[in-house]
Amino acid sequence: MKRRINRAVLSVVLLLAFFPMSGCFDSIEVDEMAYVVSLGIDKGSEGNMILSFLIAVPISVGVGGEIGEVDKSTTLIIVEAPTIYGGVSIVNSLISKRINFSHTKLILISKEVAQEGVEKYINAFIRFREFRPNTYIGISRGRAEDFLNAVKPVLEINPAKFFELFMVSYKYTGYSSKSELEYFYLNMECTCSQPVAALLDINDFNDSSEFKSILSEIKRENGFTSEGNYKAGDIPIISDTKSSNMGLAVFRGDKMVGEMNGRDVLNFLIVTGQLGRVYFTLPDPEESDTYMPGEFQGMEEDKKYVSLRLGTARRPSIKTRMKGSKPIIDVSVFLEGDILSIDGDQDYSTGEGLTELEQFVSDYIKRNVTEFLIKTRDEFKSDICATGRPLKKTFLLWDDWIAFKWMDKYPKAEFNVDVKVLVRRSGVMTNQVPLSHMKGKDK
Amino acid sequence: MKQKIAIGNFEAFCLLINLFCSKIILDFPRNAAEDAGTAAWIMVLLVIVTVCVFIIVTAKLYKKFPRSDILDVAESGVGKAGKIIAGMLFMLQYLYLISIVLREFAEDIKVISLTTTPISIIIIMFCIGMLTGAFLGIETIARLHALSVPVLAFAFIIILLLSIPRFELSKIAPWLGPGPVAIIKKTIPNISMYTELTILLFIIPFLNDKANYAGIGKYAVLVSGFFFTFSTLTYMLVYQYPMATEFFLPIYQLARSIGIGRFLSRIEAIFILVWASSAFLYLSSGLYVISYLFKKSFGLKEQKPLLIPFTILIFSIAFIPENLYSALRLQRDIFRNYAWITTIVVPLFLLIAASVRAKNERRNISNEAKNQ
Repeated sequence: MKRRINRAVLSVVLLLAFFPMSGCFDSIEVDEMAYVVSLGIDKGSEGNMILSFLIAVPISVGVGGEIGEVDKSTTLIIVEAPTIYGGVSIVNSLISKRINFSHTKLILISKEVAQEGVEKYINAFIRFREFRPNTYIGISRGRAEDFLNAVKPVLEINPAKFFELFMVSYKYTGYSSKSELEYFYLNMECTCSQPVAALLDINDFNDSSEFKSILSEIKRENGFTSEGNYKAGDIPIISDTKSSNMGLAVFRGDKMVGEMNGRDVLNFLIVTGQLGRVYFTLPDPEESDTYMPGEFQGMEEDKKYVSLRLGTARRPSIKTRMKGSKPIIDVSVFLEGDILSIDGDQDYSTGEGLTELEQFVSDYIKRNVTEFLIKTRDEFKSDICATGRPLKKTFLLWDDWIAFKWMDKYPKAEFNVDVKVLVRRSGVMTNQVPLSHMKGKDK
Repeated sequence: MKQKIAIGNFEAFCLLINLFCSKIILDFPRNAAEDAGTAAWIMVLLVIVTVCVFIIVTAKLYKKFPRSDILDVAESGVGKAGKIIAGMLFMLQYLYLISIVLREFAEDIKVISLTTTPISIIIIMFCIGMLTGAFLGIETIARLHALSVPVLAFAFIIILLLSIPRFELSKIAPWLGPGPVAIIKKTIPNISMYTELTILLFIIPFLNDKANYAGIGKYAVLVSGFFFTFSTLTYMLVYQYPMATEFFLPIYQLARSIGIGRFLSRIEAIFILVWASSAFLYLSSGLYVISYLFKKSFGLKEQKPLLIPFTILIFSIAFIPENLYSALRLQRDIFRNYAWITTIVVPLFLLIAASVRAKNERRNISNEAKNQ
């Protein structure tokens, strides 16, 4: 009898426990929340910050199988507040829903703010549960507010998916890199590497006649023009999607110290082993006396190119050793490529032509990578490629490593770069018979 | 007729595994990083070796007391008063530990999941589960462990394995962290991570295979040692020191940052399931042991009437820490620094005392026999 009573009491207690376990206190319906897709941070007045909340409007994104309206899939709310969560409270007081960051895809910080230091913002995001560790971090060359106002996804109706795909395009363009919140924080806190973040801006050209000014400026800066020599916002392109993602913001600690263009980023990806499969253009070996890009024989209009699909064949090797007080950094890179197109008459698909092309590409990339590493040393003074990691492994005690001060040693580094490129495939053609060989040059 | 309690080897093994490893999902990898920096995993290995040596020594001494639990040994070594003192010592230790762990589990779930639910409601929920488990008895608890631990271990291993793509060897360099002397010094308080090993010494009379209790303990220490080492290494290989000391729930943080493609993310949901199941099992076992120790120390006949008073006591003690940080400090700075004494020193002392006394008694008997 007693046993039966005990069981009955136990059953009732367990049954009662189900009610609070269903989450009475924490229950919130999905449609009671406003999901921020992107958060922008600009400098405000009197020490405040201007926060831009790009919020998804689910009803406009589409319900069930019905497609919504692209133009109305997001709404932008801009507020000035001393702290991020202070801004959230203000926004909550004027909209009918509660701000939620659990689906935030992009945190956009303006260059002006980044140059003063981002530690306090990153700490706030890392500490708050709603921000996912893989939320993307971007640095806006102009105002973050303007960027979020101008961004208009055209091919994607879901704004969250747009930002998600937009920020991973580097895997097939090579013009940006992994730029996630936790990854950024890991590098910011690391004693042997420095962080980078994607460089974003609005590309606001209305007419192709405006391209010339950009191209001449790029040529003046770099001595030549190549498809990767641009930074976000300065790309000769006209599109309804105004947003552009090209280049990287370089940090030293938590402060932004410089910008890299798309080609620099490609070299960064090569050295750090993050290179996906990207289209890569270089001058035709036969058309160029030197290995410097842009130094072609003949007229500008006669420039000939070879295009490859380039990828990492093996993880790059970085070995760092000390020679006195100077770090010697040996970088060894092994890439592989497929031929996509050859502008000139020379066929590089087989035999000696192939060997010539491989040698040319290797030397070309070697030169680019070396120049890039020197730039990180002299201009940025920032070890973004984490070349200090191999050296850290040679230490036994933490205190010795900290006393060594790797970051102070990096600006004295000397680089030895070795690049090997193998061309594995030549598309669906085994060789190319130029028209001029059969019909003469002008036929 | 009273039903006899019988626990199988695998059940006892799973019980110990969960009791040891629940710390991993709480805060163990972070504590290890705080203690030994980049060499945290080396310190964990040293702890495992030390505990294995302890088991071997204990097993040798225990041979003379088959079928007895450590309180029976205490009685034969230092008398009835010694048994009560030893029982109370162990009981108070578990009362303190379970109360703090209950608070930690509740605080953790408040931080990551039930953010607006009052802490008292969460603690009450855990108490109901804990009370139910303890009410059903150690046999049921052990069987539940045997059913749950393999599943929980599998889910846990999945979380760790999915972190492998983010491993970077340089994150555990410099290899010796704060230095060999500092690592060895920190090894001693960290023996407390195996404090629940004493539960094995209490449940010996309930084991089906009583002679094999040392084997169960040794395997449990080795397997849990694998989990301790693997989880600490995984955590440190993903989050370098000193960043590794920052995250409140290390394994939860690992689970949060796992993302494979666009389709496999937010797998911390698995973690919460693993964690809550492990917590309920851990707390039920703890409450059972506390009431069992009280009953055994004072020679009481019934154990079940003690469960509700002890639950109320645990519930009340759990509210003593002002905040989460105080609860963490109570465990880290007080419990961990002294619990190794009750884990290793007290059982060894009781076994040695009982052995000496048994030897003296045998000598006296043989002397008397000679005199006669």
